[in-house]
Amino acid sequence: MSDATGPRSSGADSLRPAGTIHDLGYKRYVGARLASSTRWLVVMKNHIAHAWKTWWRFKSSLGLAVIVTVIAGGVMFLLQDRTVKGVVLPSGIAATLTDGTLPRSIQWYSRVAFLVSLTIGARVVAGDVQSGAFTFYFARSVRPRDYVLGKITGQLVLVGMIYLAGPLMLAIARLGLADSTDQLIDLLPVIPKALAVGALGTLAFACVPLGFSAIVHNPRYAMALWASYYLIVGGMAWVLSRVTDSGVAALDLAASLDRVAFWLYDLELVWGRAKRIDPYVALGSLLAHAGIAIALVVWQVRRAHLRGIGGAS
Amino acid sequence: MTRTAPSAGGVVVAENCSKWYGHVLGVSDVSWRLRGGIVGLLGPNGAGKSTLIKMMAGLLRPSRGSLAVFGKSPFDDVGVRRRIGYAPEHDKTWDELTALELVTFMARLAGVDDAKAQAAAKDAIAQMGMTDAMHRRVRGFSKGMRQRTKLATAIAHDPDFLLFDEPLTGVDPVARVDIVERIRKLAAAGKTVVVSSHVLYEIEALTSEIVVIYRGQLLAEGNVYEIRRLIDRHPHRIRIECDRPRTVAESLAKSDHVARIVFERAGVLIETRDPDRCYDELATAVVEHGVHVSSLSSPDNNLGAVFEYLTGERR
Repeated sequence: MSDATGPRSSGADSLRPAGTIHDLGYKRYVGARLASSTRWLVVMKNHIAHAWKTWWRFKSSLGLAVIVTVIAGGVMFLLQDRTVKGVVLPSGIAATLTDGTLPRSIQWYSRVAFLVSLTIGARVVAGDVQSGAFTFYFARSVRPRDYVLGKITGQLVLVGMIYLAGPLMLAIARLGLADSTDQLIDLLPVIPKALAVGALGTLAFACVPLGFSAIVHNPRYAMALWASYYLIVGGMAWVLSRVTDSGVAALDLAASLDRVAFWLYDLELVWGRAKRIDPYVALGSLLAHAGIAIALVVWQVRRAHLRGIGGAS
Repeated sequence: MTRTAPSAGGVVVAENCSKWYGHVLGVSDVSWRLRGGIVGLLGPNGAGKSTLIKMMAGLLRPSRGSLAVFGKSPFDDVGVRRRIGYAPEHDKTWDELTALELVTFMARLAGVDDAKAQAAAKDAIAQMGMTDAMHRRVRGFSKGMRQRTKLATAIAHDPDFLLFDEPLTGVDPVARVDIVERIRKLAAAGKTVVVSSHVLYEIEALTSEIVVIYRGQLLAEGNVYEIRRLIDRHPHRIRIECDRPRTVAESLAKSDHVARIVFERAGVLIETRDPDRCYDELATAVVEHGVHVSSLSSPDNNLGAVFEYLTGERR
């Protein structure tokens, strides 16, 4: 703030200011106003930053994922000549640990991703409803779709750092262990396969817990519900599939991901949960889970917006 | 579904605006035009203040009628929400964030450029007198500090229209005076401010422009003194503390506008239907009889009395 100045007369008058603007302690914002279409990016960045703030929400799981990757990479490197039990090539020959570790590691990434889904994913919408955060979002230039897109992409980035990066690094390590240039070229497809498995796992572990967080308004109940579904319903589905010989085992998300991974890496399981699932059914189940979860989130957020849920009055 | 917004002609234009929560009525058939300045939204708990504020903030869509802010529906138009700053009644925020992080995030959500959001947040925090605590987590804040932080989140993106829902609730008297002064400064800077409260003297300290809402209906609006004048069927009370209350009472007892005279410990309370005449006659009596007056007041000129009269009719 500056004093206003004007034409001054001579003598004593010249010492007197023509007028004064009082400093009200207020400054106007001079800068760009970003388009509303960029709001999802703000929501996404905040979601990631929030997850990164404490060690237990995400950093601990990321650390576990690094340990899984290092151990799996070490096994691939140190035990190249050993075969892995229960995993065979289409010809029926037992697969080497170097090849078998790629799909085998998926179950471990699933466990780590499940931890992230518990500490972050299953709490997202329920937590925001409970904390009244929607009041802050929707009183600003944020639309429900910006919120949903921001939260989903944020969660995809977080889970992707585990589920996409891990298998990809192992696939690159597998290329590094190739005996010859010809074998390296033959092995190149493991990169897109690792990306495909990683993307599918990321999608499942990012979206499905979000869906559960949209069902109930209490983050603890949402976590419990998601954990029950993942651990108990999945296990029951597998048991049921053994009795009925049906594809119901595809409800077990971890087993479905395992099945798709082995299928993509052209390996067969001799035993295990995943063996009982048809790969196409597993793929369909994972995509359906993600699709239903996204629909639930969209529905709940739109409902909260229309009803004004999320702020005590 | 996009509703047709009423034409521009004020910061807020509400036309036959109603809001139901299922079978519960929040706001009923409110028609109101807000042109600017500071306006106090007054009403008891559950009167519909927060509902009206949420509709102005774009958080709720009217069930019937329309409500426009700057000529557009705040619920449907994201652009107009950028010009609105809203501080909700509740205290819930992201408690693990520092005040600076919270206000910066809110500024970004409202469209402030990433590079400038932190500077804008610091400025807003400074305006609310919270600079010293801006790096502390909200979790450890007192009620007053939370209120200030909430107000900072509302002003960080430099909105033209501010909505403060019960901003002084739970704040200690010293902080209350300070917050009132800061809200006044915002209005002096050209902002339109709506402040809701159920505590009458809080609003009285801020503004004389009020809107009284009761059971979801607009009971009165305008200057508190004008509203008081409109209630002519209610006797106006004048309290005189003097050395000879009986002399004053005798002088006024003959006047037809005097409805009642009540003697009190230190003076006399006169209820009149014509305050102007009563003040004239009172002055004459005091001069003629040489009465020493230690205090002259009208309990009915404060907001509490107005509110009591207005709502009392409907109880």
